[in-house]
Amino acid sequence: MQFIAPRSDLNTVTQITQRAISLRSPLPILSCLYFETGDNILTVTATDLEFGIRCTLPVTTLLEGSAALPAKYVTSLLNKLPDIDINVCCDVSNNNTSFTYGDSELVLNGYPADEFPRFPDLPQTPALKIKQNVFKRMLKRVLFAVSNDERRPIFTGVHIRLNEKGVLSMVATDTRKLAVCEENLEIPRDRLINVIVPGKALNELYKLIDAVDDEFDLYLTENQIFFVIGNTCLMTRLIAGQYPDYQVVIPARYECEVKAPLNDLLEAAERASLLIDTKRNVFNISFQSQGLMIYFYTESGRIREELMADFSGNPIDVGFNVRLFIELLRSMDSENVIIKLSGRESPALFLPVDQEGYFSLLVPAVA
Amino acid sequence: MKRVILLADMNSFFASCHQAVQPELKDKEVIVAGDPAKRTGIVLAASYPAKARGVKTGMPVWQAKQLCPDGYYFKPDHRLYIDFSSRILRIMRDFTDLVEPFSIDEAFADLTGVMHLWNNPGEAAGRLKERIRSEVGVLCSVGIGPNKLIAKMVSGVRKPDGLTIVESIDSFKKIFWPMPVRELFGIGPGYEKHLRYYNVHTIGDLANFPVEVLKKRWGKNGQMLWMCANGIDCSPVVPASLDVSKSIGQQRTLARDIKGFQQIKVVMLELSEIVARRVRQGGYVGRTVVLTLRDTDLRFFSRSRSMAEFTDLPDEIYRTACDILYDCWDWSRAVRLVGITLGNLIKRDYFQYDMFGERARMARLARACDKVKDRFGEKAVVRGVALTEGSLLNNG
Repeated sequence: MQFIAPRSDLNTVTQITQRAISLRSPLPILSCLYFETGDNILTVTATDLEFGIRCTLPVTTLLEGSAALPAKYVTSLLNKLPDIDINVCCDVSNNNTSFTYGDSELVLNGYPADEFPRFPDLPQTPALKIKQNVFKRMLKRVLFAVSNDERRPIFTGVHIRLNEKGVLSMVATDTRKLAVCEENLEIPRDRLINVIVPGKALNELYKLIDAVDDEFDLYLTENQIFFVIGNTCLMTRLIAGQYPDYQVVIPARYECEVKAPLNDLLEAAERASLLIDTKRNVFNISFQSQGLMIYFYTESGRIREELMADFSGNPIDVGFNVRLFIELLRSMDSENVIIKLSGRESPALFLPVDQEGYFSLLVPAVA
Repeated sequence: MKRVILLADMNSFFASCHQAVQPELKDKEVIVAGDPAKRTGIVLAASYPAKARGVKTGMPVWQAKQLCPDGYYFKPDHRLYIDFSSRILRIMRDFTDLVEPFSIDEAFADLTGVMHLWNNPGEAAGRLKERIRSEVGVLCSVGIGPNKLIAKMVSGVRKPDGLTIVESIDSFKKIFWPMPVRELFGIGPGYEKHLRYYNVHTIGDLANFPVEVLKKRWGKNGQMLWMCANGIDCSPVVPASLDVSKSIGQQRTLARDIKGFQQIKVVMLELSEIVARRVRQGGYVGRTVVLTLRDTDLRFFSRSRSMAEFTDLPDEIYRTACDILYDCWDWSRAVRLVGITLGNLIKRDYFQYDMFGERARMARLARACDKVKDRFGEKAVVRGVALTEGSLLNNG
């Protein structure tokens, strides 16, 4: 394998692909980036078998072939090379790859390229084309609710669905907080989507897509999903299983409702969070006719904040985990938030004002 | 003011409890061991006549039976021991309110403030020994010293039924400095071996060794050992040490060695159940689970892991402990002791439920079991695994 490419382009693709390298992989070959050239196109791949990223880049191919190089060295090397064209050449007899820049040369010891697992093939047709900014906005609203408890894999994923009316929905929960986001794509579909996608991969996708109007493609197989954004393809396995029905946990009626400025509420909660210690992480919010009152005390100190808000219903006093409360509010991007309560123990509903198809639930901490 | 600290250490405590319940066994060879019916149990305690015939704690039962075929063998009965232990503590609290339980058969008492009631410390100690002997029926060795460390060390000088008083650090030095360094509290075979390289053989050698070198080698622990060797210990007797818990744990030396995840997990589940109940009884919730295992070479293994939420539910403690087991333990090693501890305890002011009602259901189940156990005893409701071979109920 031999090709010539500008350093900056090479650096960009390796920086993107190396995000799929798992730090604790049992197979040494999986700590490698896989380079393959053909027809003036370079393909760089990284995978931990469950999650993978592949990027393509136009280059000047001198010799077709492939190489597997430790990601740790390649990425930091390309970061440090001078910003000129680099001639990369792999010696198949010993798997060594040389990087020639100007009159200098650096050789990296690699692994046998044929040991690298094959990146799965894309299906023929995309299951969905969607605008990057729409998908990114939806991800932002639900990703915070994903669990990282591997004991219950289903909750480490986001439930993504596309129904026959063309409504795309995302649901995520770690059983204490839940976020639901829906978007009407206004294009009736014959192909429905109903998958659970690992939150880890979606976090990477969130970084990859931009807040632009351009569309990207989503491909599905029975147990994998592919996101193709320009020259980058992100693949991940799907989480098997049945996602629980979140509808049943939404309270049917509410005892009280407040409408409060989101930023003020968030800032108050963040100030309260400064007092969190190992013994206490639950603060109280009084929902009363004048508005909201937040109070919280720990061994380090205490705080009381009063907030003007529109209130209706019966006054109530509820405890929330401060951290979860902040995470939830941060995922919202509206000016005002409506909080509906149906009791001290049942989930509180958070609705951003003037934004359709999006809400979160948070289960209070019960005294 | 010169402090007067007392340590009472019960002699052959488990065996003595059985002798106290059945006085006809006095002066007989009484051995408490894992299921005597099985050959594979381990001796947990032996009375002095049995010890005289060579029976030692930690010895397999079959070996003890060879040495002492006509001995009286008992299955361990922890509730009996706890009952005796609390009765002894009650007697000690008649002497002073500053009583700190140190283990099930040892407790410190700070007599400094009540010395005006006695002619000398020996008189108080003698009266205490007499009351424990007559009211509880157990003999104890008492050590008295100017601090907890010295009291603890001198209590071991005369056994059984001993009383040793060391009034000053100087007399501590006279008694202990010539002794081999392994006799010092806190020194095990590991330290002993390393200290030998420094040409430290006796406690006196250690006491006169440059503390900086020890500090460099072992940090805080090195300094601690040096202070111990010099008889320096400023720690107070803290009576509240069992009133406010930082952690609640339960560990059991198994009546026989077990191998493989399956059987260890049975014991872990039962211990989690006990720990969770005690945590609930104290009105706590905790976040950190510690799994302790000891293998047949008596090597300790201990790892901890924190959970996302505070809990007092057995299933969550158990699942976290299982994670530790799978990640860190080599299943082929035989296990002799299993312990589970819930740490990072706080008062249960709040409890975070989940939206699918799972924790609420588990909490209701735990509350219901608590009610049954409060009324009908701890064994009234048990897990299904109690019916399996590895269960603690089957094996003491």
